[in-house]
Amino acid sequence: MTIVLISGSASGTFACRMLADRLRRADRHALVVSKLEKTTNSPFPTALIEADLRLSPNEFLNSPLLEKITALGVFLDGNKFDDFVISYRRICRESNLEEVPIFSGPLYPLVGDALIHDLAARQRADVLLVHGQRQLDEVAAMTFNWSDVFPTVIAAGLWFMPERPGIGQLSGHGLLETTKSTNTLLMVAQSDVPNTKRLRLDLFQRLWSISTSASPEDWKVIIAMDHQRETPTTWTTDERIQKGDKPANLFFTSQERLLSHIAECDVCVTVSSPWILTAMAWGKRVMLIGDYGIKGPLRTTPFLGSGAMHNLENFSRFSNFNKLTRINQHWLNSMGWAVFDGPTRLIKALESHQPANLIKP
Amino acid sequence: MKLLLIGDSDSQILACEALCRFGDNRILDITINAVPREGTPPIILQRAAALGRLWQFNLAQIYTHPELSTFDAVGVYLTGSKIAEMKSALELILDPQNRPLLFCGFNGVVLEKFIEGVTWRLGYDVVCLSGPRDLEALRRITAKTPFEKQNVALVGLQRNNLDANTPYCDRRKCLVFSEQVVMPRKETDRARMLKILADLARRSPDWQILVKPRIAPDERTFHNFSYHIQDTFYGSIGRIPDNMLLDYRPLQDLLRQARMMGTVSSTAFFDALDFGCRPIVMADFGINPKNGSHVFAGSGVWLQLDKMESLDQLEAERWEPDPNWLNWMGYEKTYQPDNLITALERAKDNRVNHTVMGAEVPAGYLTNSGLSFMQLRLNAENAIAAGKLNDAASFLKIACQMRPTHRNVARRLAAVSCRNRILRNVLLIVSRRRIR
Repeated sequence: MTIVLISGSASGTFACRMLADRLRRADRHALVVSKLEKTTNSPFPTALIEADLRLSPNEFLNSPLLEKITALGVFLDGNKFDDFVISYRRICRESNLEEVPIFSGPLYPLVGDALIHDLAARQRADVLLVHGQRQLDEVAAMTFNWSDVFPTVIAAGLWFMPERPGIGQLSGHGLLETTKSTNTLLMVAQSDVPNTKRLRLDLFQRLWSISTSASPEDWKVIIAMDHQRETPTTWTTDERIQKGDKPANLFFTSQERLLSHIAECDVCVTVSSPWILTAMAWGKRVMLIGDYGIKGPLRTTPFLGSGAMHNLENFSRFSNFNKLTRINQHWLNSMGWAVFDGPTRLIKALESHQPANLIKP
Repeated sequence: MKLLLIGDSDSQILACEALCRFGDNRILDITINAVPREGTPPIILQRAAALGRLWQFNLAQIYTHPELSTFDAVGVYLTGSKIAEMKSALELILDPQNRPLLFCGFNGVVLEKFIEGVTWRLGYDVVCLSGPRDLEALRRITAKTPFEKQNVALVGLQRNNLDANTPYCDRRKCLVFSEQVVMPRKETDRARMLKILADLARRSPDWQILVKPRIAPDERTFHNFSYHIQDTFYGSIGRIPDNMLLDYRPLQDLLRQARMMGTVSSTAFFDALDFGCRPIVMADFGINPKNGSHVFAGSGVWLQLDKMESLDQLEAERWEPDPNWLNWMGYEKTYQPDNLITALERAKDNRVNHTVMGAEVPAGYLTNSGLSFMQLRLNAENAIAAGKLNDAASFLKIACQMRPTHRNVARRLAAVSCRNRILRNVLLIVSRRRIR
């Protein structure tokens, strides 16, 4: 009997792979079902976004596997989620198949309006996965006194990301020593944040300026995409880059290496990429660029209170990164880091939605 | 205590008005400043004038007003960037030990963007919130951060002084529907909303349904919309039932006479309670945060009107808002404007030791009001590009205060503030610089 995880995107498939691994460690049989049109140029190593079954959501609904599942994790967004759930339940009714519980949730920790909008769009699920206590509290506030039934909501921790690499695989200790070969400042670049080309150009020019503040032997700046982009240098519209002119220690990098770069960097900065949580969880020195404001469209609102948000204007030189202080551990815990047994919580929640023997191995 | 309340849009002036329901035992000298703005309904200014002294100065005039330092407290009911502008300006202009205390708040029920709103307000001497729901949300955001001790006052959601309301049985069999400009936003949903009301009117021939538009066709709010409800009303219902009308009279007048009030998610829900009118919330669009319906779904009167047999049936079922929910939202006697005065007095005492407003926030805890000089300039340029000249002026004013000798910022501010459109465009072109 199998828990099937369905996704339609590279980031969703990656997260489902992570979750499936943990479910298997809890002795549950889990399968990732996904059919990505393109696995190259995704933000993740190709091997990590290979699904167990290359089926689209619709192909899965037509497969005999439907009769063998015990729970369905549906990580599709917007209308695709509703369409899938409605179709699945209709098929079950028409074919006399027993419906299994459906679970879903946002891949990355959300707060405020973004969380409310995301969960409201997944109301047809039986179980909703959020990340930490902060999200549970927000859901409790949102559903205060509701008479309508809302899905069971559980905190599953930072399930979308891999565990910390083992000893020897995590270089870049963040001490910023001058004796070390070369320190690395990793900028995790987003496709739509900052939200105008002009602001993205501004951000790039600041990184350019920082990179010229130290010798290439001491520091390098790597701008890594967290999204699909054929040519990483097109992230900026700076004409100098298009002409091939750039500081010797400033690099753009292929997005498949994002996780390796996070593991290896000394300082990780971003405006609001959720992968900064990975850097935080892996004990890296981190900084969120707050210069563009704390706003919904910039997805910076979850990071208010993180203790890691600074004005990049105050970091014009590499040496300024020595000033970075520890992040707010309470904040990181509340965003999901404190939840270590997400898969177990998920299994319990699923069991309460159907006879226990069905969900057990 | 001498209070100055500053509001610009009509809803913010209404928030100031709602705050002015202090207990009779308080000796307060109140001045309300309605920042001049096109489209502010005269009735709102009249009502503000009735509460004390009415000023109509723009922000620059307020900064230089000789009386400014004589106020004990200044309440700022403006949009986010202007809230920061006011705080930043008063920090620079006035003596920190003798300046007026600063407070701000949210107008009405907060349906969205609470976190953004909080980040503009953190650091004010007192932030007014409606009730436990908002307080919980604030504490969630600020837990274990330097902002967790932010002073707050729970001022409640009651906005009107309770006078002798007309007894229910003496009221007209009338349901007032309080329209909102963008909730629901989609034109098809707005048409459906009116269709449901029209059908209910047909099923309730003894009743009258009055649709109260939020604004007149020639008025504007800060929401962008293309179609006034009047156009939807006449264009999408077909034959309009005789007992369903658009009514532009003040909402308060309608609520005083009607038995019931309906809404999707308007703050008028609480006005209805003030005036003894039974509120109901239209649940026909389901739980959709875009409509603010998630906030009202626990009200206890969240009802699907298209499934309602008639308004007689609705009346017979005697739906009442859930007291737990009302309390949680802030509609309870404990939560009242007097709490603000108490909080201000406490803040005044605390100032002997330190200034909360000017307190140093540790690195890493940036808020919107702590934006960099460069960012303020970039925000201003984006606002200019989007044609939002008032916003641009706000950003540039803060930047000007940070660096008064910066010539280009001063020139850009002069350019966006120029009233003559042709001259303004010329000034904007000649003062344009690449920001680096």
